[in-house]
Amino acid sequence: MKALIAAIKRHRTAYLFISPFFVLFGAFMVYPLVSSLVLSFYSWGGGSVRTFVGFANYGKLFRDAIFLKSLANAGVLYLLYVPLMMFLAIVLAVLVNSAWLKLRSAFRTVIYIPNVVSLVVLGLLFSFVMNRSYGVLNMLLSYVGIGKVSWLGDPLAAKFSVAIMMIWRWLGVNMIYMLAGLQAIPSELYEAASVDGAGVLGRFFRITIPMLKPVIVFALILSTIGTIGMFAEVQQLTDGGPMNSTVTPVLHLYNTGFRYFKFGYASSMAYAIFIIASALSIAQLRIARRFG
Amino acid sequence: MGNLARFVQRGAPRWVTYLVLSVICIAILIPFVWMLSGGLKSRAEIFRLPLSIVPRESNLAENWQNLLQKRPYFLRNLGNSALVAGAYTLGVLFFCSLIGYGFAKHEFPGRGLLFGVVLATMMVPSQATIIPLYLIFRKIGWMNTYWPLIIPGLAQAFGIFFMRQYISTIPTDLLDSARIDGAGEFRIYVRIVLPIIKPALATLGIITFMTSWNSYFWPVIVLTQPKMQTLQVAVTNMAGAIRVPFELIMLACTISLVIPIIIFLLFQRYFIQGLTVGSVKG
Amino acid sequence: MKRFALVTICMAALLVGSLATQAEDPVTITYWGWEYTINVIQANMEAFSAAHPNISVEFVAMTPDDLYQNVLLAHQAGEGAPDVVVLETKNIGQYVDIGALADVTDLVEPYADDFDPSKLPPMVRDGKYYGVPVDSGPVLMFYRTDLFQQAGLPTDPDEVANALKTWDDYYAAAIAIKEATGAYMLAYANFSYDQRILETLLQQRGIGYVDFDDKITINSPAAVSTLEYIGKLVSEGYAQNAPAWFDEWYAGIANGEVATIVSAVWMGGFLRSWIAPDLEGLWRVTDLPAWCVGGSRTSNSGGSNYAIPVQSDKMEAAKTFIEFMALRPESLINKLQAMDEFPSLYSVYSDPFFDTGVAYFGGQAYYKAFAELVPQIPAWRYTSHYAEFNGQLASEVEAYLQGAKTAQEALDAVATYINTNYPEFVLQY
Repeated sequence: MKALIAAIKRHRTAYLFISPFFVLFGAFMVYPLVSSLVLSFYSWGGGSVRTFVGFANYGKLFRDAIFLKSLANAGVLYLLYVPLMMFLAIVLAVLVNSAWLKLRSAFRTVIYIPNVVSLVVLGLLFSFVMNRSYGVLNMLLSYVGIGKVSWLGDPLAAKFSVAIMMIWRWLGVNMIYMLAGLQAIPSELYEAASVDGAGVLGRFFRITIPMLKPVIVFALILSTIGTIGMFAEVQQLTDGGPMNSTVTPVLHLYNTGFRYFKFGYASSMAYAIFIIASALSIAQLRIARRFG
Repeated sequence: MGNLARFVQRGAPRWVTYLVLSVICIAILIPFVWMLSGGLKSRAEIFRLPLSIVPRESNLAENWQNLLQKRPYFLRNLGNSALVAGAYTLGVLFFCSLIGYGFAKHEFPGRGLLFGVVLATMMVPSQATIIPLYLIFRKIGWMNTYWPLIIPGLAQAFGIFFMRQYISTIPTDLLDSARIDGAGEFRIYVRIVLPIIKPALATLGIITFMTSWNSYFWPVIVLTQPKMQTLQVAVTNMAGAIRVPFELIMLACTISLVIPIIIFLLFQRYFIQGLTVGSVKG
Repeated sequence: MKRFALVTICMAALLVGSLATQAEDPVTITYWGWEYTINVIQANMEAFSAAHPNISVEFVAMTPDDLYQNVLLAHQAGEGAPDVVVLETKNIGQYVDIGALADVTDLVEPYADDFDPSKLPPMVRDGKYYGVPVDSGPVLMFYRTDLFQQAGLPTDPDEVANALKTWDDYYAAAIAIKEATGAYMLAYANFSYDQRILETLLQQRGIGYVDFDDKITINSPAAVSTLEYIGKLVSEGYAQNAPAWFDEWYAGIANGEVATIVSAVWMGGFLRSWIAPDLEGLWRVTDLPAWCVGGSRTSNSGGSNYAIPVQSDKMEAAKTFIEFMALRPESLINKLQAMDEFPSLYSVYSDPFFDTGVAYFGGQAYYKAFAELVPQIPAWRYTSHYAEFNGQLASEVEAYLQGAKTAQEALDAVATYINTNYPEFVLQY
């Protein structure tokens, strides 16, 4: 004990420096988190009656068809847009990184700009872009002979709409991460490889991708958390429809609490989502480490 | 077959690169152009077939008038957003760099664990904490003020993480020699650390500014008086009513993008530079 | 002595003066509502300010979703609620159940028999009233006289009501109109839609999600046949696939792609002002076709109510405001004139304004047509879980209309959901 106090005293500046986080955490996060956890063991409809139900809310999650569907949706959406987006991000980063490229700054800016749009504006804008009769996407498709697609009315097409929206929004940021990663690869590696006779594709697959691995993992984890947490943009674009084909976990969470007034149950859902998101992130880190 | 071999060996000719980049850029710009044109068209023209990207006549003046009529405080809302985002950004830059420095360049008991707590907060879905937080804000009289949008997020996990990564690349000898000379930690922070991490500050500053500028959820709950509202609230309040005035919303959205785009263009240089060190070590 | 008297007199004067002003202390009340409700109230504000100069009103506009969220939050926090709030009939039950609204029985009771009977049940608990009905949405069939004429159908409202006596007649008309003009009979989307028309038709037959005896009725044979009727119209191509309140739907109306609209009285105001002002003179309204001979020829869609959050400390002023805006005949007529907000209060219907011909509807006594049928509106049970039930219904009906399930399966799924989550409601079918 004495040693601990002495240690704290010795490092007091450090503790002081990091204290703002913990002060704010204590003030604004601890109480809500604890209160939310406690609430998850009760059934509460917003009025004066709170009934203790133990773990019943958590059990309910397994039988909640829409919750399970939202998890499935998150999975499908992830597969629909993340691999393609990462691939494009890497390729674009490599292209933009070409030493001889002119207008590099312009290309970079344009690709990044969508990230500047707020999520609500994003949903609104894309609902306008994907409108079946009056949106620009169908207008352009008609120029190449493809008929009107019901982007927001067909369950499958709606998933693609969300995927397209996500790629548009996040491609730029991921490209920037990849660019940063590229710049850290020593050029000697490439030179040595060319001397050994490796061509462009060879260098790409045997040097670039492996060296980018830490960045790719970082970006994938952020995308995982982001996909599970999709809310405002989906609410604006499809509000979860049609037929719940685009409901995301957090959207369902919001509805459960704020539209259906089931607050205890919603709290348990929030914790479930937290656990799932953390588990997936840790799993991704472990897998990445295993593949060295 | 020879061409293919040459491609594998030497890569595609330069024009292919330009083509790919240009196609992607055009695809990305299309929604923006559509948004811009929507803001310029009159409501009737938005629904006139056949559609055209370029409006046949500009309805800008009338749209702007209608927008101001629906949202008389629109320009003030714009200013409010700038104020909140600016204050928040400055606060975040100060606190996150200080805390990041604390974690990066000091050995102290429990460092790993405490940093883990910081990271864990990134995974909590904010919807879980809405009601309790709202209760807190009410009790301390923060409704219709900007404090809820600034104070709680000052020490945000992403910012701390980012700063820590960046600061950890500063050679420790630099700091040690200053310590030997008798300088206090805070002085070192101000005189040595801050100047070195300027690029990271610029990067984090831009990201933070954008986040605050774009935020919607808490502003809608906390700011019920039109005078106090921020831009995002003003823009989206118009939707969700039975009649969605697309042309006004698109115009408002276009205007809402001007400041963020300018900020990005101005600080792009620092931004890219800053990210270079941040994510690689992660 | 003189000085003492003087001081006393001054103090007395001050006292009396302060008492006098206290009776008329200026007070500001806050009102939360969406834009439409504020606009109709504004039509009466001049009169209100003249009658009650000491009460000023601060209006805050929010989208309905934000409004419901914020009222809920304010109630949870115990502070921050406004003094007057407007809530739709389908939502008010939720708020009454969580104790968020104040008892306004003294305002409502004198008029209890004078209101559209379908309005009060959601706001009543143990004989006390927690809201004041404002407007109703009696439903009629809007139809295009020119399209009807081209198809060889009558155009006069009474004749049309006679010709389209049942929904089978309506179906036959749909065929005729499609052949003669190519137009759809109505708009009914198979996606992104809260199924209001289905609910309206069910209400016309007296069918709700549950009935007043806690029995689930949403999957009754009559409900299934109603849904199948809609399915027939959709699958055979008589319904335009555009979701309501989206742009294709507006365009469909404005461009003459649909011949009828099953909607409530407030639709007239929208048609006139911004959906299809150019179609003046071409629309009329008439009774809905019935499901069986002698059945109700109207239903209800929408409707709002004023309420006072329990937190308000300005009850008197709030009640005065609500009384002025919802119970005073002149105010109600003004709102009707301004934006077609149709009063729930019967006594207003005898006002001569109801007999006026509306130019947009070719001179038809538009309001009278609705007023006459209000007594026929079947009661309907919303429960406080309406939002949830409606969400399930929308999703299941979407599946049915897109061919993934049969009507029976879709409605059975809704019934099962209700029973599983709220066992107090009993399965019957």
